[in-house]
Amino acid sequence: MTEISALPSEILSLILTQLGSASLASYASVCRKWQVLSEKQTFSHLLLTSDRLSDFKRIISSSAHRCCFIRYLDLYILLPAYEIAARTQLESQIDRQKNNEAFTQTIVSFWDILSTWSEEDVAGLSLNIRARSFSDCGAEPDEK
Amino acid sequence: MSATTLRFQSSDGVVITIDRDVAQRSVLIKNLLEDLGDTTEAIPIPNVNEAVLRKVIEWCEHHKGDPPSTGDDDDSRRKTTDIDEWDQKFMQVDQEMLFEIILAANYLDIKGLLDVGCKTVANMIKGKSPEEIRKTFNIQNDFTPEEEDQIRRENEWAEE
Repeated sequence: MTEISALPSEILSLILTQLGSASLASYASVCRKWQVLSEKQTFSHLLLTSDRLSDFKRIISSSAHRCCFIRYLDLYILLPAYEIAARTQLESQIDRQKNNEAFTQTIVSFWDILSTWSEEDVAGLSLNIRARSFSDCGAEPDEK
Repeated sequence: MSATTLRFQSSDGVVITIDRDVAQRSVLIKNLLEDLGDTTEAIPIPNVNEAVLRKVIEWCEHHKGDPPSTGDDDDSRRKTTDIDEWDQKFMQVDQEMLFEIILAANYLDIKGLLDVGCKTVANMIKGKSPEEIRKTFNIQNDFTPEEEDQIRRENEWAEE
C-alpha cells in the first residue's frame, strides 16, 4: 500500500510550500518528518526583538536542525520609551546613554547566542538590525 | 524517420503502445529517446505498474497540446492550489493511486502532472488540524503530548 510516507522529502516539501506559510506552524506537530520539512520554511525568516531573544535562544537550541534553517534575521532593538513631548527635542546626554545601553545590551546578548552556532550555521545568514522605541512616531519601526 | 509510436513495458510486464509525442511529455523518456535513437524494443519502466502507467498516459494524452514547461521556477510552481476541472476529475482516485501517480510523475519527470498531484494533496491537507491530517493519511504520531504541544508553541513563536 503506497501511503504519503512513501513520498520523498522534496515532494512533501513541495506540497507544504503550496499551502503557503499561513498555516505551516500547525503542520510541524503532525510527526517528526513533517516537523523538519515545515520548520525549514517557518524558521527561514525570523523577526526578533530585544524581548524575544531569550525565547529565540531557547527555541533554536531545543531542536538541533533549527539554526541551519535560518536564512534571514530581522533584529529590532527596543530603545527605552520617552515622553511624547520629547519628540520635538534633541536627545539629552542621559537619553543617549540609556539608548546606548539598551542597544549594547541587545547586541551583546544577540552575539552571545550566535557565538554558540557553528560556522556552517551562520554561513549565508542575512541580518538586518534596526532600533526603535515604542514612543517613536508611526507604527513602522524607524531606521536609525 | 522516427517511429510515431513507442512501446513501453510496465513493472508488472505489460507492454503498452503510446504515441511518441505523448510519451515525450516525460522528460526522462524524451532524454532517453535522444540517447537511444530509434527503437522498436519495448522500453522498460521498472518503477510504474500498468494501472498507474495507463493513468499517466491518460493525463499526457489530454495535455499533449500544452506548451512545454520552461524551467524549475515557471508559473506552474506558483503558490496556488487551483486545479483545472479536468485535472480535478482525473485526480479523483484513492490515496494509493494518487501517491503512485505522484511518484510516477516524479520518476518520469512530468512536471505538470507532479504539480497537479501535489496540489491535490495540498488541498486534502488545507484547513485540517494535525490530528485530522494524521487520520486522513494514516500517519503515526511520533511525539509525546508534551513534545507536540511544545513544537506547536515554538512554531507559532517563529511565525510571529
